Amino acid sequence: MRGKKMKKIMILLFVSLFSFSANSNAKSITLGWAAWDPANALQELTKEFTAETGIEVNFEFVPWPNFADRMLNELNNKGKTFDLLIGDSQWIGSGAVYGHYVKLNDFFDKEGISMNDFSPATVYAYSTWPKGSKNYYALPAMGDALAWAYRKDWFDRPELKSEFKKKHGYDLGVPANWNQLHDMCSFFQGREIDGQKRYGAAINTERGSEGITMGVTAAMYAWGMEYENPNKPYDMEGYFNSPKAVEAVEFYRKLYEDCAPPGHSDAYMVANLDAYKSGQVAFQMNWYAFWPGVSKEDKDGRVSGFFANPKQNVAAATLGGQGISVVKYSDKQDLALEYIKWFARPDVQQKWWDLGGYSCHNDVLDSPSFPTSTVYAQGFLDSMGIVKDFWQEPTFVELMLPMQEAIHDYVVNGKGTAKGALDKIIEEWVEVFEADGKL
Amino acid sequence: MNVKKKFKGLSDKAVGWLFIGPTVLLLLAINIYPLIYAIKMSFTNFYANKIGRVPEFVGLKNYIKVLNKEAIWEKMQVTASFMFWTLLLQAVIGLGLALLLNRKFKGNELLTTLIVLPMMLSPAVVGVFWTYLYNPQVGLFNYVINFFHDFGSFDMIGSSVLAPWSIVIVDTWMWTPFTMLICLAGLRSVPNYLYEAAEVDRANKWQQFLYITLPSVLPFLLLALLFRGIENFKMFDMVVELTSGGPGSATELASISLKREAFEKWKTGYSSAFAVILFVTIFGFGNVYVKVMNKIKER
Amino acid sequence: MDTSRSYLEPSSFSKKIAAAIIIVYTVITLIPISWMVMTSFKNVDSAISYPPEVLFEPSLEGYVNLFTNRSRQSVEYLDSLPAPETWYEELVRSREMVITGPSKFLGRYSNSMIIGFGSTFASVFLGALAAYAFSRFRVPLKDDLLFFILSTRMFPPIAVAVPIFIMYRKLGLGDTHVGMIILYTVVNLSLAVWLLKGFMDEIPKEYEEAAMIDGYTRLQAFFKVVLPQAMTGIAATAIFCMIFSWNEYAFAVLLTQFNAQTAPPFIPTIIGEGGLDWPAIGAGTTLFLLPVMIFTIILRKHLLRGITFGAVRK
Repeated sequence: MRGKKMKKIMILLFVSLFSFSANSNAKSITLGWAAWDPANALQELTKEFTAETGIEVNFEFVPWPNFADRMLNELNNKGKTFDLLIGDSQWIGSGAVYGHYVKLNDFFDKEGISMNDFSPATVYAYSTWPKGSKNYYALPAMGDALAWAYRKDWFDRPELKSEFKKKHGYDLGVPANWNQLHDMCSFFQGREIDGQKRYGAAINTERGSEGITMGVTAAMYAWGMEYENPNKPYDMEGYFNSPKAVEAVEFYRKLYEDCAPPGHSDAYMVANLDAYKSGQVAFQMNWYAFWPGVSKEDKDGRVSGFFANPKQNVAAATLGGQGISVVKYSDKQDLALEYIKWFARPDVQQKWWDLGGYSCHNDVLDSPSFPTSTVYAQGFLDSMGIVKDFWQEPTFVELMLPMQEAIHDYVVNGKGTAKGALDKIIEEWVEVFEADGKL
Repeated sequence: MNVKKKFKGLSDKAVGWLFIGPTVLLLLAINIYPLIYAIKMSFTNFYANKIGRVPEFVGLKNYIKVLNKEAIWEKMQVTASFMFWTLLLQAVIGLGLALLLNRKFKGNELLTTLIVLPMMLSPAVVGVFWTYLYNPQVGLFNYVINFFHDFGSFDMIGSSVLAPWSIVIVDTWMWTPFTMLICLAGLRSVPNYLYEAAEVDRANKWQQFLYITLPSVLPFLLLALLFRGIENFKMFDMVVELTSGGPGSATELASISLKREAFEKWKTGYSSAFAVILFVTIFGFGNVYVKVMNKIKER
Repeated sequence: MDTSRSYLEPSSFSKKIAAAIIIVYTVITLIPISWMVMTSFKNVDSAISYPPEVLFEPSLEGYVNLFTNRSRQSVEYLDSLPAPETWYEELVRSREMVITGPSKFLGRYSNSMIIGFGSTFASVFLGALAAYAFSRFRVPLKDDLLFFILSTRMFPPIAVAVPIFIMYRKLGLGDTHVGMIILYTVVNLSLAVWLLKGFMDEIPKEYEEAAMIDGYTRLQAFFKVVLPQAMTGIAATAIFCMIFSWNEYAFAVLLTQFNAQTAPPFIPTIIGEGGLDWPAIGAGTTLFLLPVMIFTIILRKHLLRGITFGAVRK
């Protein structure tokens, strides 16, 4: 009796094992991206691709906090899960150098896809390796930059307006620089509005992946920080830790201490959205990708306004966004390329923007109706002209992690000095570049 | 021996190897081989993600780098203080609970089963759920604490002072039952005649506790602490999900740091050296501890 | 008899005090778990209300969110849709969303089942064989072998994870069920051998010797006589192995991505439309805890005995 039952269970186990690993429909491909609003829009858009070509597209969306970890592990494992991957801009170096991505030049030439049709900043950031060369490993898929949303409905209240004017001598409105941003955020910090206690700004402070780096660099770029000596690559001393950069980091800590809601010590995209949507904060820092959702969900009197990253010494914004690449380990590269060919079409790109994706195609961006098509469209255009990105080296994770730790230790943990944190980061970076033979 | 030869089938020796063989082979393949492989890699500048790049032999360079790195010593300190407080609290509370449960009041079996429940949870899930309980705005933990004394809103995970305690509290909540169970096993193994003899000698309850109960339960308690010590030295899942090592590096345990070096930065050679150092540490401490424990047992 | 026991039995007063303290502790220690179960029956809003709601209107939103993927739609679009057919569709619609498909939870859960049961079976089976051999036969270097087996438990998983990752990548075992079953089997083996050896030692040799005199081979005697006798020990060992592989996270997060991923790395990533979806996480955790909890309660006597054995050994 017992033996028979055991056997049955074992058979069941094995059947289920193999049914899991069995490959599904041959005329289907799998696309990987992060789990967020634009991914849903892409899923919607892709229905037309399936209707046209008969190729099914499966989607695998990974939550942001695990996105890089999971996807890069998959690539390092030479996994065949994905045929197409919409990978972060910083991955392009490793994708090219370690051979995870298919080089697309021949394909582009054959299909008449020209990179001149796409906004230069996005081609540079999402497609090329080495940077600025004519070697393309991705098609710009989703333009993005870090920007700000604010509670326009609160800003428009006369009593708040006059109180602010009295206190600071200028009008409450879109901040012209980071000092004004701080004035406004601290103005709302702890203020009671409609019987609820409100706070200043939800800013990036996440420790685990890339959050706080993507936040603090918004300030550092605006202060005019450069990663390296423009004439001598990888020479960072005096650039990355210049007095301007130090001041920016100090300012970011001040912003965190004076204006963040309680418990906002490990927050990135969704946590910022949460704080904003629940009415806790007057400002949130976040990616353009979320603005369609934010403006769509304005209700109960909430009106959202948006602005590009404020200027301090220079106008600059942190780059986000992704290109779409074909995975080298895929068995269905031809189908994947067909998808890219379809996606690059101007009419598809226009629909992509209409559905809430950020197209990088010039036909879309240069169209006269574009700047007024949404409240944040002009800001997006402005931002994409001034974007700067983190290192895109193949070793970018090695470069990212020390920065995450040192900045979090200074900004959130309140340990040490800003200069000390930046010095420590350079020290780690030098080690990484040395091990990689770049220094 | 001769008697056994009469039996049919495989000889005992063959059966013995047949039975032990698979276990030893599997352990060699999945445990020992990787360990040797890791030791080998620790002398190279290998990167497991840089496909096609030939690793070079670098001698002891990785070890020197690890040992000279201030940040790694900081992480060792974080690990040590995490272990000290969790073991101390779990020893005291676990032993106390075991002593109380040993009074064999009505319903103690049911209560034991209920107390053991936190141990059954997945540490990673526990970690993520406690971020909710600790949330300064909507979390239950703040609410309950403020109910008794109004501290205002405080951020257990975001403050460098409180964060190390946040992981100690969760670990203690989860694993005190383990110490308790083993102590309980120890208490139940104390023969009754010892107490009877003590009664005859007119020893009072306190003396009985000091001279009979404590010495007999001590080896069990020490054993429980050994297991917990090994586990907490390896601690990764719960803390990663709860604080991800933050704020800054206030709760970055050695094993979390190791994971970042090995699986995010992919510095395979360097992280292997780090792993070997950790392994030697735990093995060394473990051995000394077991020796001390055996001495106490003998007494 | 009664009188002789009286001075060993604690007084009824001290029993009452002990019971009271234990009950208080039990209540406190169960608060987080009950809170988790309660949260699973809240809706998204009442899960993030302050002060935390103890009394609330129960909702199945968490469970619906756990099993589905949803996307937010405009009111106009929702109005254009036909009326919802099921109660869960209605629930999702009332949040101005539509269901776009099933979530990955069921897949992750069944991965946990396959890998959990598969590895538990394998480690108990192999462990029983080895334990029997250690218990009955003269094995050369027995103590060294036993210590070697025990010492493998001390390895930090991450220390051996990279070599295993590379090995699995070469063998094509990365992110597969078989690979994870083998891995968890090995991790559990040391415990299984040690626990089961204790139980085997307790079974009198005479049993199987009698069977062998009756014409059984050693193997037959083992399977037909010894194994049934050791059932208690096997059950206790199986629970320990199951709890480990059911809850394991480090290897799962490092070695599996999309095919063989189990539930523990998945549950913390359940994200609602903004922030973590606490009711759904509560629901996932509750469903995930259920099997282990039921096992524990059914087999609690064996479990305690298993721990006692583990402690008496060594």
